[in-house]
Formats: sequence, structure tokens, C-alpha cells
Amino acid sequence: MDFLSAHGLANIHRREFVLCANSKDWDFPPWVRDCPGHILLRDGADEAGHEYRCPECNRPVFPDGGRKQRFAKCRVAIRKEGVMRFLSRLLSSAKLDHRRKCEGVLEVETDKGHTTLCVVDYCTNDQVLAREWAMINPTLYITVGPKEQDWLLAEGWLKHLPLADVVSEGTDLAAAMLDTAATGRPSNIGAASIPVYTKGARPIHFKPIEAVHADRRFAVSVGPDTVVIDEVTVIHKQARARMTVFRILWKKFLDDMKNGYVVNNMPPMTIHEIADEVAEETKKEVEDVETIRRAVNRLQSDIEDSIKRNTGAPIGSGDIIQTIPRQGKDDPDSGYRINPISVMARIFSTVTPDLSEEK
Amino acid sequence: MENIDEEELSGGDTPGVAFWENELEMPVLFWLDRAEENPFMERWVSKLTGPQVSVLHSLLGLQPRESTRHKKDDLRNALPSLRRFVPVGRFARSKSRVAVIDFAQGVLDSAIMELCQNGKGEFDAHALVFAIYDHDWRNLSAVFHLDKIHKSGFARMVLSKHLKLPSTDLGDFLSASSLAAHLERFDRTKNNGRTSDLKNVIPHDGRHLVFIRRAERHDLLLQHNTVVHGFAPEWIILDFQDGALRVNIASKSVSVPLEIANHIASAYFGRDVEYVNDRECSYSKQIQRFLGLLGNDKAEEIKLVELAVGNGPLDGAPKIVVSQTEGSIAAGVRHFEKAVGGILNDISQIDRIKVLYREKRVPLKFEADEENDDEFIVRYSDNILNEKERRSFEAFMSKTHGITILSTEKRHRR
Repeated sequence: MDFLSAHGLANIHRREFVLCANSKDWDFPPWVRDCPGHILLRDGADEAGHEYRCPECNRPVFPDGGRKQRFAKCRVAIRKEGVMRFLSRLLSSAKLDHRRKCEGVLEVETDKGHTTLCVVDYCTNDQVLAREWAMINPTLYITVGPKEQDWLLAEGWLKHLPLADVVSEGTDLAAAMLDTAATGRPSNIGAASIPVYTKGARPIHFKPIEAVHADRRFAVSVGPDTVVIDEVTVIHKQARARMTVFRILWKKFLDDMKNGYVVNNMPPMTIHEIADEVAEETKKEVEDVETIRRAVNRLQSDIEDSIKRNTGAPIGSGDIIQTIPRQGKDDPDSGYRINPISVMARIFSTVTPDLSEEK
Repeated sequence: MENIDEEELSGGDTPGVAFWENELEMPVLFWLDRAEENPFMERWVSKLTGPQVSVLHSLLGLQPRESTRHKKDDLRNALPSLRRFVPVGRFARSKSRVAVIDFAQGVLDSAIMELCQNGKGEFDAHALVFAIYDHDWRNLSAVFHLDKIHKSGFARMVLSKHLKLPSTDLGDFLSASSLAAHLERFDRTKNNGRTSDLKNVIPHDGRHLVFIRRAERHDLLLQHNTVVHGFAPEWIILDFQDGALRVNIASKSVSVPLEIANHIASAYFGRDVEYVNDRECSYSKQIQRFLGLLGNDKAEEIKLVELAVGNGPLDGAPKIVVSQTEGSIAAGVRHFEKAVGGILNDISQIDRIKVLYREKRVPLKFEADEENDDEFIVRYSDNILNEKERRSFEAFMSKTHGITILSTEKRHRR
């Protein structure tokens, strides 16, 4: 343990805990007499505020008030960075030049050329984990945990070394690397059959994970008769009235950008200004500006709904068309504008895929 | 509100036994007896923390001292004036720190609040309760009531039809003595021997909290060798919001509290109105995106710590529970999905997940909308979080993930 901790290979925490159901405690029996829950204790928790709860049955637990028996356990967490640094240090001390190829993989220079060291537990590059790679590139596969050994391809030619052997049994990593390099391409490879159906591991398709952005951004492109946001058509050909309103706001947005306005100085369009523009565009008098206000509000909620439904991305009703509330009775700057913080203008393209269901 | 018989409840500067036992639901005679024993008091003083000692020293008006040890010596010499604080300390033991701090900030002055802080600047809830009690012992009932809002889940209810707000202010309507009369009328219509006792109406952050204690189901107690038959009490908290257009309900029973809320709202609006469970749906794409982020430990403030799947991808489709007391299960779930098959992608198969938020394991459920396959109501066990944490968790889920979450609590008429 001390060795693992001293070399940064593992974090060792001592945690105190109480049992949900323990016949030696004053609060026994709880609702579930044989509840297996362990409740970890932590500094600063408000016991009286029900901050300790059993992870199994959810009941509030009172370690002090219930005079509960305390237990301690050690939790050992292997540190990925620590393992990689440890291996790197061993290679450096043997004067073997190396560099990080990708996560969990080092490329080591030997007198026989490039040799790869791959820590299978941390390797994120499926290519290095493929049989074809190991057949062509001399690679030493290191396993960190005990169970990972069982998951390695059971073929004799594969070069494999458990980390435990390096740490506790003194196996020389540098010597193992040089041996891997000297072996070169394996010659005794048998034919491997890839099953068409298996209940074991199979290649899966990974989708890139989108990061969470507190500051949301939406790419908006406006075509002749549609509006597309992040590849979702939010205003369709049939919705001419909405398109008219959006185009008026969009034109103002582009003009403001062209004029170099900064965010705080980008004035909104009042409902009357929008109504005037609509009248000019449609060559029809707007009898009641409230119909325009309702149209803008519907447009806001429909855009929000469409993006949520088709992409799942978090979006607020004001992220595309922003409502600037009136600050006082005579405030002229209340109204609507394209949100200059979250909207990015994008050139419209008819070949962009459309994720929306309704076409 | 109930007329408090001051004589019965009060012993002058100190509350009477009835106040402790009936209003605060705390058996007090034992502690009053113990407080009369000097050896007990000596031990009691020795167990006090620094802030508790400082506050009591100040409340008793003793000569200022520097060290806690000297202050404790002074307290030991002033046991007769200290005895009244013993039941207060007992009362404070079960009160949520958030509730106490929140209330204390509204009634105590800053100098006494400062005394209630330890070396790390954290408030000592016991010390605050001593000061609240000394300021006005009647305030303990408000602390007793507000403590409940941090420990109970609230069903989110909305009016079934949108109505125009009446000209009478809701606060004025609720604080009028007529509210007790409305409750009495409600009990008469139920006519089942159970009575509702209006205990408090507290304005809180622009809302109105109505606290009612009501007899719920038949129960019995053993007093000496005699069985006393009666009812188990139930606390009903009605949290009226937006001029009673919405109400959050905390209670044990599911039907009567809703009927009471309907009864009060009908009296307020001057016509029959009814609350129904709020149901704001999220689309499956939103939830899949959220689960995808959780499964990759990228959901910012929260971590996936438990997952229960109904029909797992193993042979025979057994239920699968992946759980860890400490730390995220995301790596384990990814491994399972790679080796066996997807368990996070089919929302309708997920019984529940638990996420770690501010060191608390919060269960979340995805309730399929009956009318639309693509929509789910996301519910969480809000009683796990205190009231402030609930608001920030809901805001976080809405802002960061665009998902509206509601409590797992629901109310319906039987």
C-alpha cells in the first residue's frame, strides 16, 4: 500500500461508515430489518437536516443521535496518471526515449525501431487494441487490474505484462520492451475467426459526446423560405407569416452586426416597428399589433419545442428570439431581437441534413 | 389560526409544558426534571461547543470573558438561569441547520449571529436556537414548522383551469381568521371524526406556507397500562404560489390534503376550483442526451451513481442494478454496454437512476407520458434535498440540460 501511495499509483482513502441495519445500534430495527446499506460519514453533514440517508432504503440515518456503531474501510483507487507517469519514469531511467502516442499508449524508441507500450485499461485508441495492429507493430500490452488479463486475446504470441509484476515482482519493464522490440512481427500467428453473432464484446459505434456549454450557441441559417437551426428546420415553407416576422428580425440583426454594434447596444425592435415592417412587406395594414406579439411569442415557443424535440439540446424560449422587457413605462427599448449572444449566423445550404421529423 | 391560550402555553418568560408538548411535539417533563439536577447541568455545560457557550454567556448578561473555559466556569456558577435552555438544546438536536439559519437571519441581530459562528465561520444551529428562544420563545414554533419544509417532498399541483386572480390579496385571505373557519367547515363535510388544526401561516420567499395538523389514521398508544385510542397525526403543508394558481403539497395521505387545498382555493376564488398534478414533459431526445452525458461523466455538477434497468440485455432479460456507494458508475456502465449491450439508451426500460448532487444521492425517474410515446415526465425524490438545494437542482437541470423536473410526490382524489 505504502509503495503504491508513495509512487502515486493509487489514492488510498480511509472512510468511516455506519450500517443502516445493525442490531447493536440504538435505532435497530429500521424499516427494512436486513437493509444492507452502508452510510459513509463526512465532515460538515447536517445530521438533523437528514443529510445522511441510507443509499439502499433512503431512510434518514442519525449516526450520532442513533449512537450507531462506526466502521472504517480503506478505498484504493488506482490513478491513471500515476500509472502512466510510473511507467514513463521506468523507461526514462533505462534511457529509453518515448513519447505519448494517445491516451494509455507510449511509443518507445529502441535500437530495433518504434515499439508500442499499451496500457489496455486506459487505451482509448481501438486501432492499437486491434489484433491486426499487434500482428504488424511490436507492442507490449500492460494490464493494470487483475481481471483485465482474462479479457486479453488468448493467443500465445501476444506480448503481455501485468503491472503487478513490474511493481511487486521486479520484472524489468525496459527489458520487456527490448524483448518485444527484438521479437518483431510475430511469426506463429494462427487464423482467427470472427463470429457473426456473439454475446461477448463486439465492436460498438461510439457517438462523439457533446460537451455541456453553459453559454449556449445555435447556428442559424435563413433560406429563401425556411429557417434552419442546428440542422433542424424550425420554420417551414408553409409558415409564410412566421417567416415574414423572422426575416424582419433577422435583417435587423445582420444590419446591427454590420454596423458593429456591441451586445448591450443592440436595440430591440418594438412591436410597432415589427408591425410596420410586416405591413410594408405584406402590403396589408396590421389592424391589431397584439396579433404580431402573439405570433412572435408562438414563434419563440415553437422554436424552443422543435430544438428540444429533435436534438435534445437545452434551449430557452429567448435563446433565438430574445424578449427585452420594458424597464419602465416609457422605456422605448422594449421589444424583440435575435439573441446576439446565443445565435451564430450561418450561410444557408440546401444540402445540409435536416434532423426535423416534419418536412 | 388557532387561539393560543397564553396562560396554558406560557410560564411567563418561559413556555409552559403545553407549548413544548402540543406545539413542538416534544416530551419535556423528563428534561425539565433533569435540568433541576446540578450534576446533570455540570455535564450539560461541559458538552457545550464554543459558539453555544458564547451565546449563552451573552444571553445571561455575564461579565465578558476571553476564553471559552472561563465562560464555561461562569455558566457553571449561573446554573439556575441556565436550566431553561436544557429543553431548548434538546429541541435543537433534530432541527435542520438550513431551517434554523434561514429563520435566525430574519429575527436575530448581526452581533448575536456572529457569536453563533465557529472558527470556520459556520453557524452552530444549537447556538442559534438558544438565541431565537431567548429573543422570543414563541418563535420556536416557526422553526418547528419551517424545519418540515426541508424534509418533506412536495407534490406540484396547478389549477385545472386558468383563472383570473381575485382582487383580495392571497396573504390577507390566508391570514384572516376565516381560514380556520373554512377548515372547520371542511371537517364537518368529511364528518369522520378527524379534525384539522391550523397551526401557522408563514409568508416565505413570496409564497404562503399553510401548516395544518390533522388526524389521519386510527392508532393507539400505551400510557402506563392503559391503551389510549386515537388518530396518528399528519402534518399537511400547503405552499401556495402565484396567487394560489399553484400549490405544492406535503403530507402523508394523498387525498385529503388535496381536498383541503381545493376547499381553500375555492373559498379564495369564490367558485369551485380543483388542483391537478403538474405534468411538464421532456422529449426523449433531451433525456437521451442527458443520459449520454451522465454515462460519460460529463454532466457537470452531477454524477451517475446508480442505474436500475427493467429488462436488461442479458439472457432472460433480468433486472440489472448497477450501483456504487462512492463515486460514479459511468465507467462501469460504459464497460457493460461495450461488453453486453446498451442499458442507457432505452428510457422506457430504466426503472430509476440516482445521481450524486451536492453529496446526496438523488433518485430520478422517467415517467412515460400516456398520450405521447416520445415524451416523459422527469421526476425526482425532492425530499432528499433541502428546499434551497431543490431550487438550485431544478434550475441546474433546466438551464444546463433543458429538462424540467418535478417531484415524485403526486396527489389525487380517492
